[in-house]
Amino acid sequence: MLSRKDAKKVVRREFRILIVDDVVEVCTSIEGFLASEGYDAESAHTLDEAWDRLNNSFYHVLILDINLRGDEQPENDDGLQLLRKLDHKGLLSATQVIMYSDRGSLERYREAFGKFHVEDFLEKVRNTPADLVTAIKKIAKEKAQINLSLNTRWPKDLNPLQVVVNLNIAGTRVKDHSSLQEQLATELDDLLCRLFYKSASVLLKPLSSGQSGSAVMLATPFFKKTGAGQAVVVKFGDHSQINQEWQNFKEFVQLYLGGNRSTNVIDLRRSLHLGGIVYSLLGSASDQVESFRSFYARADVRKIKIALQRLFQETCKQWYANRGVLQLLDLTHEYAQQRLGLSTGRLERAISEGLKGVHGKRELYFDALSTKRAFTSPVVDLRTQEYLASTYECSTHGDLNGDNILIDQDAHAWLIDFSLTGPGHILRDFAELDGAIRFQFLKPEEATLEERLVMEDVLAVPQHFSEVNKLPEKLETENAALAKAYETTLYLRKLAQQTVSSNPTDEIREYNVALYYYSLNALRFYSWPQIQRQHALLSASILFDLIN
Amino acid sequence: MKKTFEGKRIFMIDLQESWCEAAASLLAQRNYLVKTSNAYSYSEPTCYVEGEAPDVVILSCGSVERGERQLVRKIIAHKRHLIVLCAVLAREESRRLFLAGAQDVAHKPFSCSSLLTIVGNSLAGQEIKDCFRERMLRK
Repeated sequence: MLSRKDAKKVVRREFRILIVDDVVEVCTSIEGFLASEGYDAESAHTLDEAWDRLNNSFYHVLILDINLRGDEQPENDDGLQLLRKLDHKGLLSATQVIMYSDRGSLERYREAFGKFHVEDFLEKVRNTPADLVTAIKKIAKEKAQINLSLNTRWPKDLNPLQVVVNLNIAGTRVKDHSSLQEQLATELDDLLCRLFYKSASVLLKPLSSGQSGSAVMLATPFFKKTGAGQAVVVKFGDHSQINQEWQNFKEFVQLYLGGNRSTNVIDLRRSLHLGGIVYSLLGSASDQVESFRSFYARADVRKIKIALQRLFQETCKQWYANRGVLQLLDLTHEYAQQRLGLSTGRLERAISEGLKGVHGKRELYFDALSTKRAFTSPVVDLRTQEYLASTYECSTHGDLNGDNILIDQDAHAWLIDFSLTGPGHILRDFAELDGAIRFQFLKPEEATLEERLVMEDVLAVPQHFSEVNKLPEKLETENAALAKAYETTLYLRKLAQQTVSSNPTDEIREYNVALYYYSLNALRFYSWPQIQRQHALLSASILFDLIN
Repeated sequence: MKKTFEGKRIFMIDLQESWCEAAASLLAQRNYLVKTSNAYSYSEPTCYVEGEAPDVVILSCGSVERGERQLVRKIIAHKRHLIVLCAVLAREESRRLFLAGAQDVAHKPFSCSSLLTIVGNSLAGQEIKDCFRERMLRK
């Protein structure tokens, strides 16, 4: 890992300008004028060279000629082609463009201004490089909406280089000491200067860097005249993922989330690779919010229950209220194929190669268990499975893990990360969180597999959903962490039961099917400790027997 | 399939009554809801834009002078999409109009189809699919 001193070097800030003109002398002249005003600029002389630079680095301003092939091809419009390519890639929202050409015509003005929203179109014959500098200054001040003097305050043990590790950018996980890491650290700093362009400084605190390949931070902006602002949540990651998140937010969240604890989007920006979204947490009284995972670790069960109740019955109330009528849902299609993308081969490999101390094929035996109890292998040919249920469909979060729920000191709940939000099985979010609490929140050192099995056996008793209410309130155990996981899970299942209590079938099978698929999915989390994945396998096996 | 924009409200301003009516009846055939103004002063159209908030405003004129520039500023200030159609138009003037915030600036069209294309493109251009840019432009 690079030192803090090195990290500071990486984030040296400057207004980045690219000049694209086939005439070298024009570029040199503009570069000279810009240098005299304190701007550093780079030049490219062909379409390919410009495209290459724009794909490997980011620029705040692009100065673009239209004809990039000189007098030999007077009709050439490579510059406009470059604009079209940038537009197609969505990069015109990250770079402001000034056309600088002697090939202007009304039609070209219309295309450049009307379609691509260029900032200006200056004709070389009428405007000198000095005029160009004036236009750039205006953009830097008024249009670019960026504050390169932003004072970003990171926690002592954290810097942008560390934060970008593990981000998933276009399918590639960012590795430590890679060139992509260095580039993204610079981009992240630039992104923050864009997202907080009205602030003088911003204080950052990590909230989570999840499995989803994005990162979430709590940010408190400070303004020159008015001092500290309300803390907000910043999420950043691959720009297309952030874009999807915004689209889902508009469609499924903006109008529905309520209970005076709504999440709202207050800004959205992008750089070359990264997109960033700023959420305000409406109704939060302080900046003391934390992820549900860390809240769970330190809070008592009573407070956890309050948070869960508020999450499902206040924050997400409108989603469940708008669930429509009972319908026939193919849960296998929804979970195994559409949502989780499970495949038999990969699951078999996850058990045979990734799990130590588990033997057998059709029947599984666990070394960590003292009894020689045989468990049915839950991994079968998924293509032949078909679990249907008469149930409800409504908007769901789609990725309700412990990092996407934020809790404040008063146990009020907010949701973030809407990249998978959309219509789905009404119990989807309950089931996912259920699995996270039992497998993940219960830390490896907190309970043995034997103890975990006791909890699973008790939770598997109900034949009907309403029977969840008859389960013992407390597990007979001296293990406090296990008792906490059991009580929390039981309460969550009671909330799930209440949510579908109007369903006359009273079947718990639909919930068990959802749990079964999420348990199978957890087998693929290779970064989890062995015991947590073995627990997931045990759970999947018990559920498999129940639903068949 | 090409998207249609039936029912969109278009407000056309031209001091020349005959041109205004002809263009309006043409647009109405495509099921646009058209309202026209050929008042001698530009204050009446400003009030209409403020009160009715049409989807697109078309300012059609012979040339862009002081009065037209003022009107352009007022329409843009009300965050309406503006198309300026001009009989005589210098490039530098069109640049100024674009910089002021006009969505499109064109010569007065000679054919029905080109007028429909200009209006259709304007309405299509309002639907920005790039969310990052949408946010930037909205500011």
